[in-house]
Amino acid sequence: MSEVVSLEAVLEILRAMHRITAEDPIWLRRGRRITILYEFEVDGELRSFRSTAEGSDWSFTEGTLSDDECNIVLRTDPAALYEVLHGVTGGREAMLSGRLSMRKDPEFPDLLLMRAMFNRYTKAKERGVLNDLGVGDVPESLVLPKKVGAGSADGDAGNA
Amino acid sequence: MTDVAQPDLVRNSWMLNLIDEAKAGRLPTPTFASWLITRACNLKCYYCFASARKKDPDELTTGEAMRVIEDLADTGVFYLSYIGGEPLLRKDIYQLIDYSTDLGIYTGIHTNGMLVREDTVAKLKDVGCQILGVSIDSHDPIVHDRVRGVSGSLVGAKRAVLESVKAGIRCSIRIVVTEDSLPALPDLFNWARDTGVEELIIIPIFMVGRAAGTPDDRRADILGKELFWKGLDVLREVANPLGITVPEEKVACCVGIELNTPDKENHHAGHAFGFERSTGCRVGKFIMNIQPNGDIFSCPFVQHKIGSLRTQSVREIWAHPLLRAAREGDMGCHARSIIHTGRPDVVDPTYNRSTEDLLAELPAGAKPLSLTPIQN
Repeated sequence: MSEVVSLEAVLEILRAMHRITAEDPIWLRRGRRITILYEFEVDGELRSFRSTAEGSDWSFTEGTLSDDECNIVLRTDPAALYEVLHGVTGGREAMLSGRLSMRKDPEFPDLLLMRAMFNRYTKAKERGVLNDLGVGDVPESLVLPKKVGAGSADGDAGNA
Repeated sequence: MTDVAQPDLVRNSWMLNLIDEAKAGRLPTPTFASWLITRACNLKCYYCFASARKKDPDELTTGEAMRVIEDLADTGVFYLSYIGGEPLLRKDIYQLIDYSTDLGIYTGIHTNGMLVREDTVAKLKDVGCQILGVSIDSHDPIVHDRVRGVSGSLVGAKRAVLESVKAGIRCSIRIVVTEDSLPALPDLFNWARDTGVEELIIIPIFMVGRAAGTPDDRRADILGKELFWKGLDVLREVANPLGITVPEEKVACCVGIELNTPDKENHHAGHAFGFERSTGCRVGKFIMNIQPNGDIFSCPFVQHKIGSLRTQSVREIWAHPLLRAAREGDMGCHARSIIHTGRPDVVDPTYNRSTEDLLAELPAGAKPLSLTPIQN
């Protein structure tokens, strides 16, 4: 089922998600702040990216943070997060399969803030308004066809 | 307890810890809210716990409802189910679901299916609805429609299931176990699996709402609980050979049965996983029930006001003495405490007792209850 999704594609989506969130009137009115550390397992290496969203301000840069400095630590592979953000896989499903994990016990309101950001991106994509929001869609070239015979993310999860 | 833990969950042990913490009564907030968003209904089921028919005059406005959703999100209530009545009769239901999911709340709706068409499901999907629950009593339209009080209602319910599955919204079928639905359970189980439904929610009949009010309520409750256990036995017979588990404990409240077999990729992906592990009374531990006017009941079947979201927050109400008592001690079912004693703050007198003993204690001369609906 999984496509092989490049890390660049998922990073592009996460930046788009931040741009959508930063312009969302509900998010702006509620004035919340969240810091998420994304850890991607790519070809046996761990690449970390830290993101912060607060009102209309946001940042998304490569680098790590200590657990105390972030609300949520998500470890996943690019394909799993791509599938979650595109409604192919539920967040719970990805967690239960082991393809997505949270190292740090999340506070529930923070978990909801993260899901709110994910949901905004998913809705914008489903509604076909990504271009209207000025974020564009993920370039097709960044989503590669599934490699025949290669260990897919699903397969890896099955052996986890 | 059924062992549903998976090795993969080691990396997400907080999910398992969460359920264990909740069962131990240690969560500072509820995880789940069921919201009786309207009492308006287009059916008249004889067992309706909400006595649903007409809209209450003091229903929360859209603005008030949105403030409640904000409170739920700020509290960290991560699953919200809109129930009724028929929630699709509320004109702002899509707006409310949209807002819930905008705030990150995993959101479902429980419908009788009568108003569900392809475009309804498309709208639900657009606003981010993640679970569509449909109530069904029987495969036989004569039985289902008689229970529901409106002919053609089974057609609507099945259409809702099919449209939901087609659209890729997780679907659950909810069955209240009565003498009418009991014989239909195996067929409904198989139909649900064949159709792509992900879970069955099996519910005992509670002598509250429209089902209540006769001198035989206590007897009916005892027999209803026995009937529920029979229902679980029946389902176990068809489910276990497939590797599908049905809780073995003699629980007396709603049970979730996951229909995805263990070999399926999406096994434990749906709602039922948490439901399976949260088996038992969820009052004060997992759940809060919101009434149309913002009043709070400890669960949909415990019809006793413990607060109001018009004037209080979720956190304030979660500290109510009745909920604290439920967290601190095993009191059985609070709904049954009310049914049998008129009080919610005493231990359920039917808890852990045999049907025979309980029936023997009832006043002589009380007639056995027929759960067959009154004919119109």
